[in-house]
Amino acid sequence: MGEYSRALCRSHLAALWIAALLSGIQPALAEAAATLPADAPAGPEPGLTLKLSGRGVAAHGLPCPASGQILRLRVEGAGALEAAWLERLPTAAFRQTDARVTGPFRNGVILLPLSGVAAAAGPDSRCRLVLRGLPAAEVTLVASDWQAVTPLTRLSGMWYDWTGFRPWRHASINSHSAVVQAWHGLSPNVLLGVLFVSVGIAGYWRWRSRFLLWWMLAGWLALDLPWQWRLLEQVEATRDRFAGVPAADRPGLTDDADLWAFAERVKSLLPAGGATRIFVASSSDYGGMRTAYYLYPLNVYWRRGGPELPASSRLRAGDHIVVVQPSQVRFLPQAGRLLFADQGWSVRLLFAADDIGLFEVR
Amino acid sequence: MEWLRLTLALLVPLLLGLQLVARLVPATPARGWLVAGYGLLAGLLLWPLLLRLWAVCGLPPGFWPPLGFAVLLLVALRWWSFAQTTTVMPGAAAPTALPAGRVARLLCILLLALLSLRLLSLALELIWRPLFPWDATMHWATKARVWFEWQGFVPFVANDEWLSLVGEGVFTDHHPDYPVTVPVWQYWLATALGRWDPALINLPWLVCYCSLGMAFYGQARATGAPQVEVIVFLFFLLTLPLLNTHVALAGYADLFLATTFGLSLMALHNGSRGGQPWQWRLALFCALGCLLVKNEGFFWMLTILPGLWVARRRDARNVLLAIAGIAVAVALVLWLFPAEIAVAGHSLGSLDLGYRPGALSGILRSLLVLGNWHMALWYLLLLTALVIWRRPVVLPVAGPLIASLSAACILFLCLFTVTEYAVGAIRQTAVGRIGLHLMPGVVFLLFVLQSQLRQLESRSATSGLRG
Repeated sequence: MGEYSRALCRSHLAALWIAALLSGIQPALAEAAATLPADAPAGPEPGLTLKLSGRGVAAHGLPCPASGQILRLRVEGAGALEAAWLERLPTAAFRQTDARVTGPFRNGVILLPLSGVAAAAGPDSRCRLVLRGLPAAEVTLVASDWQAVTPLTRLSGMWYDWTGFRPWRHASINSHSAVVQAWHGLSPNVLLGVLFVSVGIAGYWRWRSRFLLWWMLAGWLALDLPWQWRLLEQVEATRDRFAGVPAADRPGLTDDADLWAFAERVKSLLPAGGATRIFVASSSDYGGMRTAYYLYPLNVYWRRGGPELPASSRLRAGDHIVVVQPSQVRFLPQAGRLLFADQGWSVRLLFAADDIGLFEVR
Repeated sequence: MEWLRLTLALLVPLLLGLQLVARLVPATPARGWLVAGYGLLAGLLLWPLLLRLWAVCGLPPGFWPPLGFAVLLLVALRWWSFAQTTTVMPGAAAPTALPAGRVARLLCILLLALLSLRLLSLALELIWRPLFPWDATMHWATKARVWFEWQGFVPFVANDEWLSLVGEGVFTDHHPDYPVTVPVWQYWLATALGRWDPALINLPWLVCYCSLGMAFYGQARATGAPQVEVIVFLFFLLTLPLLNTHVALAGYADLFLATTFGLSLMALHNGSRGGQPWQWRLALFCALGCLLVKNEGFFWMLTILPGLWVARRRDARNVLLAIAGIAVAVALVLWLFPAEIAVAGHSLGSLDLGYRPGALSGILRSLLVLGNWHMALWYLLLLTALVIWRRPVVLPVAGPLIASLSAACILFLCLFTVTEYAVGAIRQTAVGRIGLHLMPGVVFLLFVLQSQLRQLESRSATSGLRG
């Protein structure tokens, strides 16, 4: 064995070691079966049409394999869908957010992982297909089948996950996941990283640092081009949503539309200036924070991680309270009182919309 | 008219920064890029200070009065520059033409085209999308919104203080004690527009991104590296996904801090190599600038000190000594520093010290598994291993940079493994953003290591031929 071959072996051993180390970090579908059982049920019937409710949700029960598998669906009308997922029945107490697959779905294809092991094995095992999207939209299943989780399925799932479009989420500012679905247990960064290190060492032995740079650039481009593509798709989505709309009205087109609309109404009712004190009470960090933001430049008080409202002695007549649900603050309409913990305020409801109310302290 | 005001609001303060830095940087390779990169950052950091000073002096607020003053300053600086032509020369700029080789030229064109596409994608996202990320609406833009309405820097205080003062003459938000560079810029652009625009107020993020790219290019070219190599690393830096996200979803101060700290490290490295006093000044200015952006900036500023120490005693042993010294110093501070004294907004008592299992895997996940940095950290692993194994002589060359970055990494590890902020690594809510502060420096280190390997190989080949 020549020196070059020995280096090659060493580099691959190192790469395998790194991959093994990192595999412990990667979540995986531990219960996944490598082969589809002979008694695996058929997928939902082709031609089945599901109508989303007024809240944009549809659910359909179906038999499912006892072990973890992938349900591959091809649907018509996928453009109306925002997310889809499978839940085992009876549903777990927690929400299976790992299993939730978000759209838009390219070519109408949806790959849905089914995690966990059924309580009742065999034909009795059932699950529920849940679709979420535009209210009252209709979606028709064209084809469906269960697929065993094999290394190839994982790779294809990673590719589908990696190259698919995902809109910005609040977590996007904290970390960027090239892939988000846990079931395939693969990361393009790890795969390409291990490949880069192993071939890089061998290449360095043969061609020195020049090779490293070009090899790195090749790997980098492999990761970056899908990212650029995703950014372009996102720009298109952002343009469709906001372009041409006056800047002041754009928050009304976001997921915060109800909070923003309420805050705008409050601001139109209350006198501007620092003298108007307004307390925002909510047990939802997000709801409270965003409402407070939209209420500025009024003199807003919102406390994160503390009691929703300060001691009753801190509030005075003429102050205003906005209660954003969910909240521990309760309103007793007959008594005209707001209650929080062991405190209460005599208040007048100025107006309420959806889950938000504006009160004036008397 | 609105666009004209917006353009002026950006252009004049940035020209001030450019003018200041142009006075500082003499004739040197890639001077234009250095002036552009550091000048834009100087404009971004100094204009808010000037606006606050303007307000403290009780001068009239609004758009035209401060802008008029800025124009006067600009004219004065320009005149001063002409008067002292000996210090500011046109500059022996590095050749800007693309490399001679056909493949290299094509590659450079391809990468620059991809970078232009990236810039366009981020710019469009920024100008269409209203303020979106969490902290942006929790404690950054809140201040700008109030200041714009009041046309003055009314104070923000903590929740309890606001209650004690019955909210009279004061406002409150979740972090009233954060540095105000970012919200002052948002206030300024809203004032220029004459309305609150939750998208266009974020244009400084795009400027910051350009500043980072140009300064990196300038510093990398100043090392004498081939253009194609510099463009490849520039591409690496400007396509880091989390960095891109902080431009597209502008509103956090992390991009500003990453740029400021990164530019300080780059100047530190080149200053230590070439000994130019103006590089030291740039390094010092940027290190101090960290204080103006975020509270964490104080700690990043401190990490420049070991780099300075190593720069004066350049050998491998001193690099290792500096790193060991920092580790010991951090441990001693954690052990002995009074728990109740707050530094940069935090006291040891509030950090609930103790090792958090799970945090380390969260950090590794952020660095190597998630897509935050593409393959930058894999590259660092490989280059470090190769350098230690094959060419340890490379280490002292990058000694100051390595010492400073190691100090920053030690602080980074401490923050996410033994304090309550470990939850930010476990849940991936902060580790990526804080890691972003170090990434421009890390990519520059990658560039330096790669260049040094190449240079050593060329020297070995030449001496081999002679032999």
